[in-house]
Amino acid sequence: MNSMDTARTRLERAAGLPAILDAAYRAFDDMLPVIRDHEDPAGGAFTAFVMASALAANGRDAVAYAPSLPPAAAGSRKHEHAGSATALDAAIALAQVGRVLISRLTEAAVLAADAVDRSACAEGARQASRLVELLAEAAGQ
Amino acid sequence: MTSRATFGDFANAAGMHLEHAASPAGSAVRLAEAKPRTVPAEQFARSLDSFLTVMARYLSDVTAPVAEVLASNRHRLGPWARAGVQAQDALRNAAKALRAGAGRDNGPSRRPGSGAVTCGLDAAAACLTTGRDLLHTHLSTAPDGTRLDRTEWGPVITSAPVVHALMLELGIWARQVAAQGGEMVRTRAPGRRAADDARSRVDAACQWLWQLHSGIQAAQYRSPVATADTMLLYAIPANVLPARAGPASHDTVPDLCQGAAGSAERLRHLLRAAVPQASWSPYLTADTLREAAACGTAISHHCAIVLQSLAFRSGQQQVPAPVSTGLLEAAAAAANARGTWLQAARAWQNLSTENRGRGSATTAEAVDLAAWTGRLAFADPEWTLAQGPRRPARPPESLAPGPGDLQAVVGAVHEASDALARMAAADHARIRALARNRRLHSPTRTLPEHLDIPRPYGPAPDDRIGALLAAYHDATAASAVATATAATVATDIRAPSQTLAAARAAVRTGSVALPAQSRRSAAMRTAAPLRSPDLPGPFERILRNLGVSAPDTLLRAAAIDQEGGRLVLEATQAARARPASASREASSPPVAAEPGTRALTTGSPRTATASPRPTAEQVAEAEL
Repeated sequence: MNSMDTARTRLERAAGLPAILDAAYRAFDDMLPVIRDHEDPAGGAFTAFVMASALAANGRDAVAYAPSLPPAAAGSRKHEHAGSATALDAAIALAQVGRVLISRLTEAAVLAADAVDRSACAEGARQASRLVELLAEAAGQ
Repeated sequence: MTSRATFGDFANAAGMHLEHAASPAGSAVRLAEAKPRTVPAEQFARSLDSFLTVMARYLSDVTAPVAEVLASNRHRLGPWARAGVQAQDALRNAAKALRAGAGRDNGPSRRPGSGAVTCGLDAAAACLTTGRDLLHTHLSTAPDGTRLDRTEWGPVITSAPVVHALMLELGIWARQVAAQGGEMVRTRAPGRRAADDARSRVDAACQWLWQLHSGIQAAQYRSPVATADTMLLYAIPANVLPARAGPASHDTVPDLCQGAAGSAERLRHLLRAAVPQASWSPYLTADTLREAAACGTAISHHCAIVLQSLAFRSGQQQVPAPVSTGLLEAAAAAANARGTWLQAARAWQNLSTENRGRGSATTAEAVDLAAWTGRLAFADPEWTLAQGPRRPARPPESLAPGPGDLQAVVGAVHEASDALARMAAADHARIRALARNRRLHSPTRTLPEHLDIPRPYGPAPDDRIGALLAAYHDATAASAVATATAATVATDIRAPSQTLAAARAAVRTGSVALPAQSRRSAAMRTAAPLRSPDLPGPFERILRNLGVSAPDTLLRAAAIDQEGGRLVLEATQAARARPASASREASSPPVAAEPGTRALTTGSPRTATASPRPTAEQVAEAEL
């Protein structure tokens, strides 16, 4: 879960609209390989993870439209991902990151002066909310 | 397949009413009576006129594609097309015969659907009118006269198998009415002139209805309508979509099957409307397509689980081995389709569109279908798409407690698979439209760093678009295979969805409808001058001897001669191929003549003396 821990920490420490947007974008993007690891038909939570993948990509694309999103820092495009222990652990970790995303993007929507920024943050928060609802139930939370 | 009204409901009712066409409406027909009461002849004549109008409308529908064919070219038509045109002529003549002199004594004929149901014939006409209306709920007409399909049943209704089945039914109804009318005519009461006149007109009209029936029977002989095609015609439902609904925790397996089938039908309906709008629709976004692909993955997964369970259960219930094998194959095909849908969903990962965030009706319906199929696949009555790894699959004995419970579940899976196949093909088409209109983009952060794009999104690279289209191509193919294997099992065990399989097969045979129909003009209705064959056949000779010169009439006689001669030739050739002892003398007395040829045998001084009946071989040699 290193990537999810890193994503959560980055989100919690981000200050200012551009930093929050950057952290949110990277969090959504980092979710995708974690989710993909558990898109296993024999895994039991297959449907939940398949739907979660779509929501994570939707959330990332929503944040990408924010004009205040800064260009990607050098080396930030690479995913650090060590693999997940179990589907349940992955669902719990993803849900935790999702909750932080909701909180920070909602906060960013208030901070944003530009209407397009506000719209992007609101849409990102909405996708994160759907993601949390899906994965929290999968995790039995 | 549906609890809605079907064409068969009205056709069956019409058939029952036609058994007592001449009996007063609402009167109990007591089988013990040797002679059931009949309505007065004048009343029957008026009802028959209304009935003929309804029949004419049906024939107009089925002969529309060949309506502009000149009479001199009708011999080029196939057997059913020719039968349809000839049936139209017969019906026109029946109406003419029925109405000749009607105004003098009995007042104007009643318009169909005027409300009064005085006898079984009126009730039958009302049923057939409603049945035709039901078929037309699936069709519409563009301003230029082109027929448009409003639903997936539209192409089925205009397919050759269903059109031929409908014509066969028309022939049967015509025979029923002709028999009833003839029976009424033969029951002569001492006479009022008006009643005698009405009987005479009814008799003449019924002769033409026998002619109509004979023509259709000739087509049936040459190109038989399969029973399955008639069943498909009868199964066509009214165009009323099931209401959108989600599964409830108290739903039983049959409820879930019905819900899944209804959701699948709704999804197919929405997809038909969505594809033409692909190039501009703001609701067609990467978000919705991505989620739809995820739903496709989930639905395939659920179908695979259900089919695997059914295969196991069929082994326990000692269902025939081919069915068990078919279920296993269908489960494998569904699992394969799942893999392709997953690849399609993943191919969206680094692609997007300029519009975001709007929901689409098709995606919402796909989510519903995933929920319905998930409830079938998993044991938890509260199961949702968010269920995690601790949720077990539904036990096989819960899915199909008895052997008879297989049909409903297989039917639901078949419907869901068919809807997925449609969705894959539709989304493939829509993505091609997005690509053509340059509506596909990629987040700049997912593009190579050396590309200096000062915007959050850049044009999607060709390789990503290619990979996306290839993934959808694979999903389309795999979903089609999954549907076909499920359809095979559904047909074998007579699942409710076997009609769906039959409908798809009928559409594949092609439509009898022309791609476009030009408006009819008065000039085009006028046939070119006709030429009779140099050597007229027996029917044409008789008419000419009677002094008949109307081109349409002579041409009809020529067509009957030609068809009869061809029939005799075939029989002759078949007889020559058989051993001599098995051949039959053609000069032996014929079986009781059809009433349509009564004019030749009544001995009336008004009829010409018929030529001595030639042998079959003589006819073949002389006429052909």
